[in-house]
Amino acid sequence: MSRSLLAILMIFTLTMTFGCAMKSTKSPTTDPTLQQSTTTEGLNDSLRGEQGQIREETIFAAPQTTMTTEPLSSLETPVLAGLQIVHFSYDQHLLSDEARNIIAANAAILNRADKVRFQLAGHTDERGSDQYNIALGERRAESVRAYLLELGIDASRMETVSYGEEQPMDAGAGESAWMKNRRVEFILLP
Amino acid sequence: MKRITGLFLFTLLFLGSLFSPATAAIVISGPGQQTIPLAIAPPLLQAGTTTTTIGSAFGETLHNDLLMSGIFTLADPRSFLSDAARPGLSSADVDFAQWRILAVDALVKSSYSVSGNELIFDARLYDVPSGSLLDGRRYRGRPGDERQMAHAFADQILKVLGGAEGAFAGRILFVGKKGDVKELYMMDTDGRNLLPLTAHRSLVLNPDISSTSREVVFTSYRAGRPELYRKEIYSGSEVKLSNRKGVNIGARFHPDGKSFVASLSFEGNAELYLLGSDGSMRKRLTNNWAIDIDPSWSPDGKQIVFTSDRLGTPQLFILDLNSGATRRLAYNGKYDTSPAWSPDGEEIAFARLEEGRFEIYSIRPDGSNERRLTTAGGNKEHPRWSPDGRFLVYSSDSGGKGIWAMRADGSAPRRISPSGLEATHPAWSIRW
Repeated sequence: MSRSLLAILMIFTLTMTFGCAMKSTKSPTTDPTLQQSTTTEGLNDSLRGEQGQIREETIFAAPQTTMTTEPLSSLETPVLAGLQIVHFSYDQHLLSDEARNIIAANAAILNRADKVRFQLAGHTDERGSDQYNIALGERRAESVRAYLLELGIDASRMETVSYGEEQPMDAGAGESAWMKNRRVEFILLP
Repeated sequence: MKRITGLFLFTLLFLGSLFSPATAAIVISGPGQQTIPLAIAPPLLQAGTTTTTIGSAFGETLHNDLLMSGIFTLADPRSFLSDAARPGLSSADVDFAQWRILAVDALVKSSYSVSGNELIFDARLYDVPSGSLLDGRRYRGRPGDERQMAHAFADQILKVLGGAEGAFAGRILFVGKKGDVKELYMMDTDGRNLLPLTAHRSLVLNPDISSTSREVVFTSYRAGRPELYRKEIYSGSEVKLSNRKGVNIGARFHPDGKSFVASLSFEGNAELYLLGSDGSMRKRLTNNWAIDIDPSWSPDGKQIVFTSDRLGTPQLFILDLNSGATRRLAYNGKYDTSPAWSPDGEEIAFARLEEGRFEIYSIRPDGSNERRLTTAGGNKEHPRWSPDGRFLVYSSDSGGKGIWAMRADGSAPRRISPSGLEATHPAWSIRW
């Protein structure tokens, strides 16, 4: 696929450019281009089952610019470093390309900690019926779960829960808050 | 728990048989028609001529309830003549001529006594033109119960003059939020006597109360996910009704109080199921890829109105339990939810999202006579009927989230839940 070729090329270029200046502990990138490359790699890794020659823990630390990469630390939930929140459109549970990329990146991280069990917590924005939103949040969590299964994550490692609109990440009203609140979080289970 | 004991002690003495009530000359069954001019004489302490805070609380409560009903015009107490302060509750004691001057058709007189920890209230309803007794009640309880006694007498007045017993002596169950915690609370129908019912320190959501017993059912995240619980209010005993995989939400008591309908997703996505009183599986009711939630029983238990997004957005459908057939109820909205079937079976109230705001609507079960009941001023959701069908209670976020009540025709909306508590999801119980 030309896209992944391009991605590998880009990673190569970037690695050449930045050398080893980047630490692996940095938070995930938010640059869409970089996002594309890392997640594509993660996907290929898991599909091929190869041992990571391009283990992009060296994920480049770029300033956060989009909603899709807000760290879970704001909710003080236990996460593996780098696990990202998956976001959704209004009243949607289908995964956007961006959401798929994020899930794939998360899958790559989770693959490296294969004893870890985790919960997929589905949330919605405050609009609409709260009962409907509980069901919608569940659909979102199940969408993410289904894609993780496709990516080879073992079903026994995952459970889902929906909080509907009950636990907003941003208690404000308006699209900027709602955007943050329509999400599925990856939460580690003890 | 003092309050609960107080409620236990609160008993009614039915004296109807002693009085052989006369037939009311006028019966008005709905607001917006002709109203009945009625006077409430100040409650008098023990056949005396004084009144105390107990008496004024009784009078005020009765006044507010009757006004809320919309079928009475209440005479101004400043116009009352000497009979208002005259003791004695038999028809012979009342100078009806004085009340005829005020052009009232009905008169309430009452007296009370307090001895030790016992409060006894005697209340009478008279037909003024004929000078006859229409109804008489004696209530026994404790000081502090006077408002509940007034609610009970208001219900009785509605039975005699309004065509059907009122529901002011019920309770309103609702979800209250403090910080990040939501718990179940109960209050009187005028918002007084707030009582917490749960201490889950979690998210407690969407309660229902049995129409045959003092039991509630609700969703709680106490165990980390949405599960159904059933609770006896007086004993406090609580059992988990359903903790199946996925969501366990939106339970509603069958009208007979012996089973439930609820939304469960253990078989894939949210579907409606019939559960036994112990939570056992009786029957799957819907089978659709869509989200099926928000069930509400028809009063005869033969049909269920619910919300489904099977056509793309949340819409209302009616399921006939005998035939299994499902039909769409309302066609004019893009996002209709939380339907509630009226106690007489004639109306279904629901919330419609339009232009970003929820408003409360009503429609007949055959899909006719759809009309909007609320007007501008915040989101109004979760309508539920009073057991007598005269009122709708609902959640509104106008001026902070609170429980509001209005007449079934949408008139006289008013906030009833106390301030300082975010309140949503009311359910109005039968007489307590």
